Amino acid sequence: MYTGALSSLYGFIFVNGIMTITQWFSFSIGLSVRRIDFFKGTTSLAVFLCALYSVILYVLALAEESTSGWGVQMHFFSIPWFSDGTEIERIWVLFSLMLHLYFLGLIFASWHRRFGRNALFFLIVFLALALTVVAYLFTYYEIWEEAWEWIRSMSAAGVFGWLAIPTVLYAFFSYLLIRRATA
Amino acid sequence: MSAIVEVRRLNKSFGSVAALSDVNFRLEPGKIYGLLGRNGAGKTTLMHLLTAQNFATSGEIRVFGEEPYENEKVLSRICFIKESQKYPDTFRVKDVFQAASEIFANWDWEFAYSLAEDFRLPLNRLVKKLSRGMLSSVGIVVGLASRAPLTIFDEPYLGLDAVARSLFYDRLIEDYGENPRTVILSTHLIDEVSKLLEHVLVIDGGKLILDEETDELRGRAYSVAGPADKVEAFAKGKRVIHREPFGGLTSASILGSGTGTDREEAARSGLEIAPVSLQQLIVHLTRTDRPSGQGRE
Repeated sequence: MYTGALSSLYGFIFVNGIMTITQWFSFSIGLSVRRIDFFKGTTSLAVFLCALYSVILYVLALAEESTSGWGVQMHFFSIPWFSDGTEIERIWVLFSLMLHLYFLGLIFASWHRRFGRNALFFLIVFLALALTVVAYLFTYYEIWEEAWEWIRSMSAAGVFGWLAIPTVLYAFFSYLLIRRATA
Repeated sequence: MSAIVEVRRLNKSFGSVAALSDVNFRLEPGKIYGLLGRNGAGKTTLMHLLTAQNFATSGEIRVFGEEPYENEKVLSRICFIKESQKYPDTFRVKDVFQAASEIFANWDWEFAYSLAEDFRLPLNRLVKKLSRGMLSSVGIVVGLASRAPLTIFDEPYLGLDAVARSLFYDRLIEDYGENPRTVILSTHLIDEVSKLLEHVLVIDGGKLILDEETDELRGRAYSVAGPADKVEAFAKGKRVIHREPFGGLTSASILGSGTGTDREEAARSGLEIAPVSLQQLIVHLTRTDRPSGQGRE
């Protein structure tokens, strides 16, 4: 039995990335906090919490595995492929995805803070168009199958290792946006 | 004496709208400044620029001798209380105080608690559940108890009743006496604060039109009161900026020093000479129908 409920936790992390800006930015800048300190403080707390949640999820997955799915064959925390690998790999997969979603939320909210609501709307429209074009090209050149093969050939830890690159880029660009954002 | 704030050729525009144009001034330490002007004159914009919460289009700002942007040494010594301050939804009143106590080195908990009591602030209530007046009180407590070397209040008393406002003025002046610092008070309730202010800056339409000691400013005009006909006779040929009739009597505010022959003349007609209200002067100086240049007479 698969629930997919774990994804709601990841949605929560994404929303937290957004709320870092909407709830805390104006408050902090208004209280004479430097932008760099705001960024360091909030993101290091996020990294710490993501690491903590990852370890907790890992421990729960282990418990699930040793009780044959809580006695009812339920796969809540332990999911095939996603939960494969060594201890470190498994925690890394959970952590990397979580952190990626946090900074994804952060960069969208930072963009909004810096350039306003219309700019956020245009960014989303632009991204939707870009993704449509990419999907179309994949279909046109028939590379979907190849792409899936490539991903299937890799371990979860490998795939989520690559995710660290966009995560770092989001963090970097979020900071640049925050540096020029007004209270 | 070195300046606490120094602003040179400051410009700020939002799109095609000039919010501030060519603003120049310097503030000395240990004074209470009044930043006065009508709504939309550019007061809040100016304060946002001083605290690096917004960015100047051009010009130079020095606070404590340094550029304030991302400058820990400068920012940690500024406490800026604004009407539009945002608070996280999860914050209770005491969480705001806790945050402020960690940010401002001179924070005084005892003072904060006594102020909270004066303003009847419920410490455990969520900030977002507070009434407008209580929200303003939170800002006032933070601004006073943080004892920052440069404390800026931007319209700090929205929704506060007259009792709470005078409480604010009293606590400000008392604490200022014991812990001298530089205070900028932005307001349009000029008469209420006129006793507090040592120096006045007036902004109108994005331009700094007045930068003067309060006493000197008061010396620019005077008011005469007495029977209407005598006041009119006296005022003839003089620049009257305000007239207030009550019954058969009139009080007129007149530009000029009100010394020498004027004083004798007034005394001869049995008129009383008194200081003019700061508000009347400022209103006169910022009237939109004022022909250009006359405000500087």
